[in-house]
Amino acid sequence: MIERAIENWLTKTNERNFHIPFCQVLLNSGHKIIYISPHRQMEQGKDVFTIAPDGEYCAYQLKTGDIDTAVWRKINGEINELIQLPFQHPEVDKQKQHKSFLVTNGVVKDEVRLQIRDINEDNRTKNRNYSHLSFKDRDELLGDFIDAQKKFLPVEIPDIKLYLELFLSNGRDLFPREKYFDFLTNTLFTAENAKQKANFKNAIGSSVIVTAYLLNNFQTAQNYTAIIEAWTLLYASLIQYAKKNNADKPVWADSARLILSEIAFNFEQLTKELDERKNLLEGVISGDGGIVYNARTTILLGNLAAFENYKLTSDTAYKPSTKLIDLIAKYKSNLWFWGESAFPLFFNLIKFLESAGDHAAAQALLEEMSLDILIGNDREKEEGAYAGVYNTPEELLGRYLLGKKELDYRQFAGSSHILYVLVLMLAKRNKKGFIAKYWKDISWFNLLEFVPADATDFFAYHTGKGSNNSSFPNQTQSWTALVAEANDVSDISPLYTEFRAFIYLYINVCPHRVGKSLIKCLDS
Amino acid sequence: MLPDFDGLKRAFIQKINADMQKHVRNEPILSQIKHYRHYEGNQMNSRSMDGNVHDSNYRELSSKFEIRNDEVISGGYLTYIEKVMNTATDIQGQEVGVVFKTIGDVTEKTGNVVDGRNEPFGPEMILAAIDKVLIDFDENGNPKMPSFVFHPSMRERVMASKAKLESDPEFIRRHAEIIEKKRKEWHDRESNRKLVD
Repeated sequence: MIERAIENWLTKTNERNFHIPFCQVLLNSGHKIIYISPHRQMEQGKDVFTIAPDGEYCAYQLKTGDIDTAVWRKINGEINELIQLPFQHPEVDKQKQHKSFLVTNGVVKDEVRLQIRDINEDNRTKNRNYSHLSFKDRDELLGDFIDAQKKFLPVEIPDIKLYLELFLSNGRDLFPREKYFDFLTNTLFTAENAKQKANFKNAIGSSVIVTAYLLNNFQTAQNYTAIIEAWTLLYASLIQYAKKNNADKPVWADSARLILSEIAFNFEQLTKELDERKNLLEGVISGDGGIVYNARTTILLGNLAAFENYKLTSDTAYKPSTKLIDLIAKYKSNLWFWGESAFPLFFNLIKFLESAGDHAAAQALLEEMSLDILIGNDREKEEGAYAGVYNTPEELLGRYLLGKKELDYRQFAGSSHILYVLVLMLAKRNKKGFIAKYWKDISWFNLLEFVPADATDFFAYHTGKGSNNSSFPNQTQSWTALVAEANDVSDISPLYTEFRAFIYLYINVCPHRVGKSLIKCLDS
Repeated sequence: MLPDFDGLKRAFIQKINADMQKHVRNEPILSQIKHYRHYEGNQMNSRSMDGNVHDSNYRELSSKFEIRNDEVISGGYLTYIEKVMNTATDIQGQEVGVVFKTIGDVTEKTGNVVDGRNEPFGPEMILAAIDKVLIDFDENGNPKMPSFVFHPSMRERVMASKAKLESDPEFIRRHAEIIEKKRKEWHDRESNRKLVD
């Protein structure tokens, strides 16, 4: 059944969507990936360039659908580039010939197979120094994908159910984060698979392939933020699995790079789409606008800001995007702090605005958010308090649009996961006046934080082991001590430092992982 | 595409559709009429208790509304609800119109019409109307009187006729006579509900 699902995905998807799983299959067979075309526009006719385990260079051009004579004529120029032009890359010896591969998820028709044979023969007999062209079509690809998966396909009924639910998800909706995390941990990233190094590595490879086709409906809908969330969760789960099992970096780093390239690609697509839009309305108009529009704006801008923060952290030469600065200015009035789970999005916006030099706008967001919590979650509040870091915007919107009453908002009055984080951010920015004015109110708040028992579970969407801590701030607080605490980075987990750039993206997907020490790391 | 709350919006549309139908049926006349949902077919045929057969086709009741992007963005779901409910009120009016037209067509066809003979409206016409319709009785023998629908412009004349019907001994007597006649007809009808050889 699941093999049929893979086949169904492969035959219907486009080359962009089987790009990453194909690269993972190459990694699984020992290839070193030298190049993946970042914008999916081929360089010298090559989408992917690898070094095979035997040291041979391999260049791949990926296509969708059947290749008959008509298609062959259309792509002839690209094929010529693929086989004739050497690949320019510092790691590649230009004098050494590469092997060329035409890859499609359709069928290479007989007449084209004959032409490929004739071209190779002609090049050989005339001593042209062109590379040999091979092809890989649907059946071979399907075999590769199924082989890569076989061992890791779900076998227990609840896991099969979960798999199919994910595969059949509404691609226009938000990504089902928790279900996906459960699927990964139940089926792939298991303790059993971690016992043998080969299994461990294959499980990681398999997770990339399976994610590509579980995302089929989201890819069809071009739901970029959902796709970004999925790859972000996979990256986090992969780190957690690797760190928990003390895996060497080479075992997982190539797959991790593939995932990051996919995240980057989808951010680029999202940015392109925004260029063409006059407003941020999406999908059916019924129920859209107002708070739904504002939630979308916040998710969108907060995610784009996170990607900017990721790039700014990874590359010190990177300059903040002026396009995003303009977008924030345009849609600033639509930003909506729906509850504490919106904090990471606002945090990313604040950090980005500061990097872009707009400290006033950043400060305004920080103070507004702090006041929202101080006033909105006052301990006397009976109704309408801001919900916590675990409550999704969808849950909160359901209250308005559908009249859902399941969530008891009184539980949030007088407590907060993020207030002390905000206080430390304000202290770091020397906002003594603001804190002094509200310290009395702050001191009444019950401060909440979850601390996983295993530090690597920071990268788990949820964990059964850990402590839900609560405490009250000092009634009388020394400003000097507060500033010292805000600037003290001695308690920062090495995991935060190692993956700092990625964590800007991760906290948007797992807002409940935000805590004092983490924000101190990201804010340092 | 941009992030969307598609599942939530679908649930919202279902809820609004249900609310819209409730709103339409909340109209005083429509609320007294039983509604059935037909799941297939393209025409209707009904035979009343007095044996009259009525064929009819489905008729589309629709209403359009326009909503600008800027209205959606600023007003959100509340603007949408407001527009939909205005549309529902429009459809409600159309449905009431269809009900009266159907009643008019059927009564004309069956001759079940009270001819006012150019006389002004009065208690006589009310009694004649009661005499024309089937009346059922509850388990305590009380008549289940039909509803009378009048144009608002007739309000004063109707109220005066009603007062006369309730105070004038002659009208009270004639009304009682009609009710007794109707009771007998009802008994006859009810006693016919049996299995015979």
